[in-house]
Amino acid sequence: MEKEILLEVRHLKKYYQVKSGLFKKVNVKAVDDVSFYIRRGETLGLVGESGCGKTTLGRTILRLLEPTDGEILFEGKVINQADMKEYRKKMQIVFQDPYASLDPRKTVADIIGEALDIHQLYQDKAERKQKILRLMELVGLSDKFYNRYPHEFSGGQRQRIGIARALAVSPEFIVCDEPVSALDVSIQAQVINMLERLQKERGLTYLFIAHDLAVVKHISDRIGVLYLGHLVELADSEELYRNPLHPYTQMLLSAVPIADPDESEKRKRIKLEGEVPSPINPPSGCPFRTRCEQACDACKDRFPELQEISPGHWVACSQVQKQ
Amino acid sequence: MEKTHLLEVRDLKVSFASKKTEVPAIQGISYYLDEGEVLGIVGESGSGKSVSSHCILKLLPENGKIQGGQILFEGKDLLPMNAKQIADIRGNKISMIFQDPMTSLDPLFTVGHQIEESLKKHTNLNKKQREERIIKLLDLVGINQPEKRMKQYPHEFSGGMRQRAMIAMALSLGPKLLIADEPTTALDVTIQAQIIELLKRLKDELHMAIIFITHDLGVVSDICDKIIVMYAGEIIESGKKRQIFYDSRHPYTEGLLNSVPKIEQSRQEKLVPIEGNPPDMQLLGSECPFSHRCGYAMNICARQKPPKLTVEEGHEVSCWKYYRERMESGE
Repeated sequence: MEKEILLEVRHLKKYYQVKSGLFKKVNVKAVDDVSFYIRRGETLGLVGESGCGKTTLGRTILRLLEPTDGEILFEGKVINQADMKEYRKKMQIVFQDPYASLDPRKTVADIIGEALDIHQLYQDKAERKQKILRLMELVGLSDKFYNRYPHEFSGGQRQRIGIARALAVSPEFIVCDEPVSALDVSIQAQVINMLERLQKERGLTYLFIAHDLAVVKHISDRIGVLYLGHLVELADSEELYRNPLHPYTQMLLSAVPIADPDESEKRKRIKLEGEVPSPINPPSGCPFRTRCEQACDACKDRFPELQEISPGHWVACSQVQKQ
Repeated sequence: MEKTHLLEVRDLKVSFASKKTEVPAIQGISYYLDEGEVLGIVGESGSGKSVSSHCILKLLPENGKIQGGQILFEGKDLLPMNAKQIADIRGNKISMIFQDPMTSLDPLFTVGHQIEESLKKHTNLNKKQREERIIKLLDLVGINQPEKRMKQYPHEFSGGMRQRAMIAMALSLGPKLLIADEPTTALDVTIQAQIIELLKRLKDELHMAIIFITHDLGVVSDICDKIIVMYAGEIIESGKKRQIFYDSRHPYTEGLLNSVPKIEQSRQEKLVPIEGNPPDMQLLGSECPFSHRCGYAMNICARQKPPKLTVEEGHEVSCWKYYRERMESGE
């Protein structure tokens, strides 16, 4: 039986206004008409290159950024700005940069304890301390670090502090925004395994944002691919890897370096050409058509809607949909 | 007779002066490289992988000090050379590209101007010839409309294009050795793949050697012939690409290979991380630097550095576990 839908995003849009010339202002469509849902206990991965809107999407879902248009539903209810304090207890975020996201003047205990203070999740000081220690233990930080400051920690340990902070309010849903990108590979694996363990133990639901396809594939049940603010493909992670349908997904997959000389020699590379166009002046119609080998005139006219090609496998490409 | 290698580093030692003490960064490393070869130096942050190659062009920060060893380029030791002699080699025979193409280009000058600088310094070409050369170079690295692009400023280039421009600059005098310090780390995967293809093509066309410094094992497996694995300022294992990937002997190398998620793997397979953190170089004594995190550590590992052993031709490892295996098999 499939689990209930925990979070749903409907036609979400986030536009930024930027100056173009002296008086003119244009909209940059960082996230443009994106819809998807995440089931309870599931991990949805989001991949895409820099500037594709993956971080903006994650932050808009948590209302750290105000959406321009569209709806966000949590447990079937539309989230309004007014109820956000309640929802902050249910939805949390882990940031990419473990150096910039921790206040250097606060001790570890205060960083983790801040959320407990705000939501008044303890009766007395002793309970606060005990809760913080329990959270530290959960993420593998020794209790002797209780009164230490962030600069005394390595990148991996800081990311653990960030995760403990997110867990402090016992959320159900966590946006992980590139949580391991800044870490060394040996440390990356520690953090990934920990995120997986915590998910199992506490029934957490993740939106896992990263540019590294191998990492996303490892941790996600399903994966969405973003290109210039559009969701261009969404499928089960194994299916997406075995049977990528969108030409952009195919390009991304063929560009991932493989840490195995034989495999990497065997692999056939698709021609990788061009770069992501500027989001200030995106191509008309399908955003990928300027780099796409299969593009035809029809691609210029309109953006293809996301369509379900096979059960659970959604693609936004008019060429694929024709077949 | 011993063959002269293009580059040979012998027992290089580097340290950095901190407030109180000298902190060792490189603890006696040796390796060599021949023409047309690509050597990958892999390691985590702080392992000394960048420092080891910056020494070749004497690009150490002020508090860095080379404590000993030799760096032989075409048989001549670079270390005793004075600033002028090194400047003649830098850019001319050995050149370098860096991780961040944004900060390594000067925003105040056009890209063409910056490439021209080294041509002015090292060649007798006149202005017109220099311009022709620049256009040729930009074309070689795959920049379209080179005549127009050379008159543009770095901010008008995208990240990938900047890295291409950096490569054009590095190649301007036809170096024999290119040192690439994490050249694709700041780039998106599709752009990274383009730059790696470019470097592979250039290596074949120009027959130059490349030292490729990276933390990404995937990139190494694509472009390198030989690999050095560094940990805490030491080479713990080195060998040909396949020896490292399919026949690694050091627990750290093995750990590194097991801790990267592989895209072809199914979700059920767990990652095997290396527990713990890299050691504090100040506190390292005579032990094996990896002994604190090693699952196979024995008593001797905490007391004495392991000897360097040859597994087979070209494949060397420094590890007590391998030493014991060899002893037990009676070799």
